[in-house]
Amino acid sequence: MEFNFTSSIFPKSTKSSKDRRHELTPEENDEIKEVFELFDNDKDNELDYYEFKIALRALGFDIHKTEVEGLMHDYDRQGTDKITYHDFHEIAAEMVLRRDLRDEILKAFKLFDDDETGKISLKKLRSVARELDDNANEEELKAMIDEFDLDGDGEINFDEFMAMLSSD
Amino acid sequence: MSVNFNLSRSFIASQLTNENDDVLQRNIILPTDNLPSNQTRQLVTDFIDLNSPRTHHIDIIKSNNENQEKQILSEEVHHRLHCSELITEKMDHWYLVMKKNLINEFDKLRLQFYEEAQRNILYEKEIQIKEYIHLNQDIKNMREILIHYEYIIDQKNQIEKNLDKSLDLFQNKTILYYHYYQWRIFYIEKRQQKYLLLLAKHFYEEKIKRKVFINWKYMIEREWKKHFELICKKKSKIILNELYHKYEMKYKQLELQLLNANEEINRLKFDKKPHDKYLKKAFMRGVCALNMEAMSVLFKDEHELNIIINEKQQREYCKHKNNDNSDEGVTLTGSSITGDKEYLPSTMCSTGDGRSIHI
Repeated sequence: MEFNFTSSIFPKSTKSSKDRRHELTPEENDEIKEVFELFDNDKDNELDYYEFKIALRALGFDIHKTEVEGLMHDYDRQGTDKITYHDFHEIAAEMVLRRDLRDEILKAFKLFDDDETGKISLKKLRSVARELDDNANEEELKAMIDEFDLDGDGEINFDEFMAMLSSD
Repeated sequence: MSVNFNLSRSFIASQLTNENDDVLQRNIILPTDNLPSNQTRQLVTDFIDLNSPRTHHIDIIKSNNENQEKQILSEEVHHRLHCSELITEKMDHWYLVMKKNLINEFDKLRLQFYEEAQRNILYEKEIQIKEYIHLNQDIKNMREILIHYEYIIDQKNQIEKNLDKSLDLFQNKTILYYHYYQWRIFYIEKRQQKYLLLLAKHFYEEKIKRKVFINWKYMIEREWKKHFELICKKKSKIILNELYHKYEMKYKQLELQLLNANEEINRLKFDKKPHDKYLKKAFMRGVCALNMEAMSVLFKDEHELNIIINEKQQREYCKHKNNDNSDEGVTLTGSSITGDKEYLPSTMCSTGDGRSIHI
């Protein structure tokens, strides 16, 4: 059965409520910790409003100002206008667990496909590799595309991309 | 001062004239009283002393006049006239003299006063003039100073105004700067936050890009790795086989060589056997001969019999030994059979194969 991942009527969340995870993987835990440490500028182990907003953005959650304020208000027990690491971890964990994989994959695809043609060409792949300072040679990149290019057009579209990541 | 003198002079003059009038009136009146001349003289001297209470006397004279005028006039006019003429003459004279003197005195005094006054005037004038000049100078100086001060004050005012203006400007400027920098700080903070958000976004994007790319690459690399591993394995197998064959060959070769060598050895052994016998005999003979020679040299005259016996024994032993074809190792006997004397350790009983000797 072929799923058209890019169609709009396809259900958004590919996870049913039974499959939903209730635990963070260790990588995600590390991610949250890293982000907290990176964006706690004054090193007081607490994030103020701006740092909090920025940290959430660094985890990929583009949250509006009012929501952030609301969250802060809910979790700020000492009334210092700051969020402790523990609370941040809670909030971030909840959000991370609610992360929609399809959305993330779409985001990533869009990042590879910067001129929005809907496909990833060899050129774009090469530029991404250069950005990331990855010393992949031409053969490798070509192989990367050829391996997963199912319709043989020399470029990877979103379905192939998704299939590639799912086969992982 | 000069004025006072004038006044006093006139006053004295008027007084004197009044006194003269009084005297005249008295002269007219007194003769009618029939008073003696002494009294008149007394009266005259009294008149001179008159200074202050003139009015009083005038009153007295007036009161006397009214009472005695009519009675006395006609009787004593002649007497009176004569006396009075003398008196008047004298009095005139005296009067004139006094007048002259007085006038002289007065003139002198007047002159004196005048001169003094003039001198004083002059002196005063000089002083005044000096003062005037001095004051004029002062005025001039003060005017100049005033001008100077005015000028200075003007300047100061000007300076004040300038300072005021500049301070105002400065204040305005600082206020503006304050507002401007406040705004700038605010603006920069906003920009900073925006940039931080951007940074966070990039951070996240790069993270997922890296994750995806690395996974992707890893998948490909995995395939490649597998492929490569297979190739490597194959190659290694081939190489192993090659080595195996090579060493197999070598082993066989060596085994063959070994067998050949063994055969050779056996053959040689077999060939050697007949030769051995003759070798043995010859060798034993030689050894015995040598021994005998040595013994004969060393123990020449003694024990000839023993020697002979020993020799015989030895010959027999040698023969016996020679007959043995034992392949055993060399047995070197180091002593002879006799007990008393020691003989050289002889190698005469060495029998055996060539092999053992060589060994």
